[in-house]
Amino acid sequence: MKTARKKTHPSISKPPPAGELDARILDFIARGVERRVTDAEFNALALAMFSRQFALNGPYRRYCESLDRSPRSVAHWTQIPAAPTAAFKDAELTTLRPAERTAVFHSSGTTEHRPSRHFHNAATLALYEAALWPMFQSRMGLLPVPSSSMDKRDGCSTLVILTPAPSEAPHSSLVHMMETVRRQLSAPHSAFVDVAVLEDGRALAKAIQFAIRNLQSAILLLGTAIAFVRLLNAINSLPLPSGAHVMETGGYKGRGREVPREKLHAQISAKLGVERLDIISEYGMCELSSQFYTRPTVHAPRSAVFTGPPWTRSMVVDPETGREAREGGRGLIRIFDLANRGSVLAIQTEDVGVRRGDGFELLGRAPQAEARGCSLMVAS
Amino acid sequence: MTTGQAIAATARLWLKRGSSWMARAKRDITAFSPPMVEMGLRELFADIASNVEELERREAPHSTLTAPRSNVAHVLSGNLPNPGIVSIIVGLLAGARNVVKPATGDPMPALFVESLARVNAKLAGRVELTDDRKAYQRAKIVVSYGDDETLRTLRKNHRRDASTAFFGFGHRASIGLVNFSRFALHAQRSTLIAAAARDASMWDQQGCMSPQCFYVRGDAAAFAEALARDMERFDRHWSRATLPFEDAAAIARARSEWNFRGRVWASKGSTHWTVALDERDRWAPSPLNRFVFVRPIELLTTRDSRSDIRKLAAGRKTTKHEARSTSCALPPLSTVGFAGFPPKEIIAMARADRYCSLGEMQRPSLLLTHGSRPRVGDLIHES
Repeated sequence: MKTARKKTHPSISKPPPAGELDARILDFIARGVERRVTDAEFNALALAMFSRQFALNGPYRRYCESLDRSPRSVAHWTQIPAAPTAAFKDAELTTLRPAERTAVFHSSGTTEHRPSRHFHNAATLALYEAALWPMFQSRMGLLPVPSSSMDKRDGCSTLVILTPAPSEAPHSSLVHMMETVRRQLSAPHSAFVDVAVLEDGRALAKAIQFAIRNLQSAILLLGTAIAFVRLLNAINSLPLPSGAHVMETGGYKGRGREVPREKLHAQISAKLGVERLDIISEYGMCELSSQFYTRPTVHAPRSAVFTGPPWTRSMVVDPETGREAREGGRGLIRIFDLANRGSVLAIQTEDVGVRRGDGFELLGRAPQAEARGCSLMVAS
Repeated sequence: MTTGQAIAATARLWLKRGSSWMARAKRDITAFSPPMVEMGLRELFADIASNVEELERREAPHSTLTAPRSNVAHVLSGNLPNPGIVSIIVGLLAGARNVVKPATGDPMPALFVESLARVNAKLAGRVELTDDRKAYQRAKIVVSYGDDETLRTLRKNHRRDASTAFFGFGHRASIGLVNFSRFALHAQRSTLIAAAARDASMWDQQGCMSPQCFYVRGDAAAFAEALARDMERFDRHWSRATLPFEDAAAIARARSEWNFRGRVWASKGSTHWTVALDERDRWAPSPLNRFVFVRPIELLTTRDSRSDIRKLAAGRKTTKHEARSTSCALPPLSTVGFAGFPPKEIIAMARADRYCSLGEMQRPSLLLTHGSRPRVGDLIHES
């Protein structure tokens, strides 16, 4: 029988300094997304980070203690207790003191009473931004650009972002990601479509038409799945100039009709004239600092397998046994993200996936408990 | 032989040592483990054998095998066998011709009717098992079990005039109320905990009389820890069924969340049983399959908790008006099992159709209707 125990706080050795950890993470990131981080390297940094998070993140430490885990008993990153995403609603899961917090990302969704809250300070936000760009760049097929010439990328790509602008959604991690991409590409603020337009497929189509008029460069069209559904429902055809790339992300959050990913991509390809190879999906959440992407190839243009950057690991966990699912098996997706330095590196998501190599195929949200029973409702 | 006598004789067939009917049920019912099927059906048929003739005397005193007096359709859910068997029995006692639509893959109604035919073929001939929608749509009286969506659809499709009737048995839930501090002696506590574990484990918590939560006066954590030990013991003898992925995922998700929010005691390497101590103001539904909450009884009276209990009782999401209103007529809880409290105090704490001692929550008597079955008179339609 696995029992819950609450302990008094054990004496904890001094956690590694944030700056040292950040330097090590940034070193991984600097190596690029194609160079593998060995298990030993990943493990060493994961354990150091767990030690810091255990020491400084009170609610997480208590959670670990209830599971009988501590830096003393954890020898491998796979044993680090994964905090459920729901915990970010219940508690302030952060190593940052209140005065240090300069930003907070909230989960979205219309049905949630309390959103998840992921706190950041300047350093963790810098990690977030450093972590997101190389993967985005790689998966969108953008050429690596020396940082010195970052500011000279005007005209390389025309960016159209189908999400609210940062001023309209200051607590959205997705919008912050889009803004970071916009800044990296030196695209104008107008890359974000007007928030009122997002609700209206025809207006979205007009906004895109406006963006691609007299286009001299390739277009990058980024947006949420629901925005794409609205757009596609409103048009018969809106061919984008050749070389266009599309990135869709996010669920539907209970709004609008759900369209399976495969069907959505087929419609994007058919109506926007974009090659399947140039349409990718992104998987991220406010509780994480890194993102996972699909990677269509010539041999598998419809690949639905999400993989992450080298400073992350994903596991698909069999809900019955709690062990990692076999290859091709279903389970709950668990993410280990070293860029989550200021909160918890191990996150138990509520999403179900199929294990595919070192990635996963996303199936959707795990069912929640519902009221059930079997007695008299009403007689008529 | 009266209808009641024939049904009692059928029940005794099931209770015989080495009963072939029981063996077939254990083989064919896959939603529960064979030991769970055997224990549950033994209790069901023991109750039927003891009480069906008394039920006949009380509710159908003139029951004879004359021409069918009404045409009743039973649309059954497959969560557990009892409601369907009892529904058929009540239909037979009403002298009705019964059209039965079993849940997909549920062999129990067919097995029961087959065993009834051994005793009285004419009576068994009054039950037709069919998937033909038209057959049960023609019935004047429909008794249906299932989720609220199914009931809504059936009610809508059922002919609505003065000569038709619809009895829908949808989702509801039950709780246990325990005055743990009244049980000081070890032996007393052992008996109490075994009773609570039984209530929370029987039929894998699939029925409306299964407690989803125990509200405890006294040391709730000690109660939860002891309950976990007995849930494990129960599982060793009467193991839980293998779950479909979705149900296991719901438990894994809930365990993970309550490990964070409260304290969790759980089977290792499986989802077989879970006890979650929850000391928050809010109540949340259990994912069932032997996942039970333990909460301090003080939480039963908080405003949020009262609102949540109303949702629990309704077995559905309530409207904002229903949640806030104290006068809104939501249905009561199905069953409240209690220990260590005087009945008066229990009734003041929670409104339910049925109150019983802890350990008896999943052993309802056929003689009581308590909102879980139609009355014989409900199914008599004089045309």
